[in-house]
Amino acid sequence: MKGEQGSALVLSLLIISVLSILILSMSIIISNEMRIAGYEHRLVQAQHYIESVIEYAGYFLADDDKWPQGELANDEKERLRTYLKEIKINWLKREITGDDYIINSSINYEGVYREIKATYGAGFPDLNIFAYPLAAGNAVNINGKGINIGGEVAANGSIPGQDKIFGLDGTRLDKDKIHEKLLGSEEELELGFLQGFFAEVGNKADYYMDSNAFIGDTPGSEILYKKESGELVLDIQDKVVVIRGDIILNEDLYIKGSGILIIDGNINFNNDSGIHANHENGNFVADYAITYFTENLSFTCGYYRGMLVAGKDLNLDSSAMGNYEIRGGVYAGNNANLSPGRFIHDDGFVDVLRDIALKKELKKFIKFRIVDWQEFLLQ
Amino acid sequence: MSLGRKEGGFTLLETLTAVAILIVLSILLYGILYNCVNITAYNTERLRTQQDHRVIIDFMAPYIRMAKEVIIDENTETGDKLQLRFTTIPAEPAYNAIAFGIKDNGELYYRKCREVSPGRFEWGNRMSFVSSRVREFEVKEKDRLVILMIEIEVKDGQPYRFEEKIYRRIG
Repeated sequence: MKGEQGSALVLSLLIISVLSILILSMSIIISNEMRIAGYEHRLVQAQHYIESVIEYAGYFLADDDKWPQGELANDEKERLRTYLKEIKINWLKREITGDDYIINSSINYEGVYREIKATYGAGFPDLNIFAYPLAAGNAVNINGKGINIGGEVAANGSIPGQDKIFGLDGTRLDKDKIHEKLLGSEEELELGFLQGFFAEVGNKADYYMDSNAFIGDTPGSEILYKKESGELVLDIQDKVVVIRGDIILNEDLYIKGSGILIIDGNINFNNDSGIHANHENGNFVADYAITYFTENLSFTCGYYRGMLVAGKDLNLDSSAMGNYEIRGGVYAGNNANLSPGRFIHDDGFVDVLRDIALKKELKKFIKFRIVDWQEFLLQ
Repeated sequence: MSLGRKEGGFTLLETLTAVAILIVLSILLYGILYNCVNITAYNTERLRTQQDHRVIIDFMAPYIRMAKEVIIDENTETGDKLQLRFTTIPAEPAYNAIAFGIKDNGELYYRKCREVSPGRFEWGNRMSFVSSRVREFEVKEKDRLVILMIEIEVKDGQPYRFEEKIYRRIG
C-alpha cells in the first residue's frame, strides 16, 4: 500500500489526547477551587445572616407580645423571611432569666448550619459624663486652696483657676485631664437626660417626705431615725425618697445605702452640720447614694460615696470635719462652685440607676446590651 | 535515459538543520517546562498558605466574637499568646476558655480549658490545627476590636503576612 509513511493521524491523536488530559485536569482544579470558594462564601454569608436574625430580634427584645411561648410571633417571622429569603430559620426564640433576655436562633443556608445564643443584659445608658468624677453644664469655679481629682474634669463653660486643680498625689493635674469648654452638646443633653430620669423616678417614689420631718428630736419616718450618738440617719437602701420643701439640719445627716434621694428645696445647715453618705468607721462602704437637687444647691459635705446631681448651681462647702471627699460623680446643671475637697471617680452608681430604673419599670431609661454571645457551628 | 532513483533520505545538510532546530526547540521547551514546574510549586505553596490563612481565621473568629475576656501575651509561664474566656460551652467535655500560641517547631496550636469534673476546669493539650509554620503571631486589642497579625513561613519565598480584625460581640 502506498502512503504509509504518514504520521499525521498518530500525531494528531497524541496531541488531542494530551490536550484533553490537560483540559480535564484544569477543569477539575477549577471546579474544586470554585467549590472551595463557594463554601467559604456560604460560611461567611451564613454568619452574616444569623447575625442579622439576632439583630432583628433585638429590636423587640422586651416586647412580650412578640414572643408567644418564647418563639417569635409568626407575623414577625414572616416579615423576617421576606427580608432574608434565602435562609431556613430552624428556630428563633427568647428566654428570660432574671433581668436578662436570651435570644437563641439557628439557621440553615445552602447546607451551612449556624446557631447563636445572645444574652442581653439590662443597663442604664452609658452616658459620657459618667467617665468624669466632676462635670458642670457651665463653669467650674474653685475657691480656697484647690481641689484634688482622681480622674478628669469637664465643663461646658470655663474652668478658671486651673492651677488649683491637683491630682490625688498633690501634684498639678495634667492639662489634658481638664476639659474646658469641651463638654459637648451631647454631654449637655446627657445632663438633661439625667434630670428627665430623676423627674420620672420622682413620680414613682417609695417615700414622699415633708421637710418638717427633719425638725425636732423624733423624726417622723421609719427611714429617718436618730442613732444613739445623735446622728440623723436617712436609710434609702433600694428606695426612691423625695423630700419636698426646705430642710433645716441641726446635726449631721448620714445617708445610708444604695438608692435615690430627690430634694426639692434648699438645705440650711446649722451648728456646723453636714451631709455624709456610705462612710462608716472611717471607711467607705460599698453602697452608692444618689442625691438629686432640683434647684441650686449649697451643700456642706463630708465623706460621700455615690452621685450628686444639682439641677442648677452646685456650691460645695467643706464640713466642720474638714475637707470633703466624694467617691463617685458630681454633676452640676449650671456652675459648680467648690471649696477644697477630693473627687475620686467611681461609676458604681450606674448599677444603682439601672436597678432603680428596672424596679420602677422606666423602660425608656433601660438600654439592653449584649452580655454574652455564643456561636455553635455544628448541629 | 536514466530514470534515476528517487532518493527517500535527507541530505546531510537537511539532517544537520533538523537536528539544530530540534536542539533549539528542546532548549526552549526545557526552559518552559522548568518555569512551569517552578510556577506550579510557587502556586501550590501560595494556595496552601492562603488556605491555612482561611482555616486560622475561620477557627479563631467565633471564639474571639464570643470572648468575655481577652488576655494577650501575659501568660508567659504557659507561652500562650492569646487566651479567650467565655461562658461554658456545653460540649463533651465542656470548656470555658481557649488559648492560642506557637509551638517550638513553629506550628500554631490551640488548647481548651476543659471541665475535668463538675465545676473544675483544666487546660488540655496543645493541638496543632494548620500545617503551616508560623513565624510571627501578634495580637492587639482596642476597645472590642481584636487585631491578629500572623506571618506564615513560605518555602523558598517571602513569608505570607496577614492582618485580620474581629469584633468581640460582648460589651
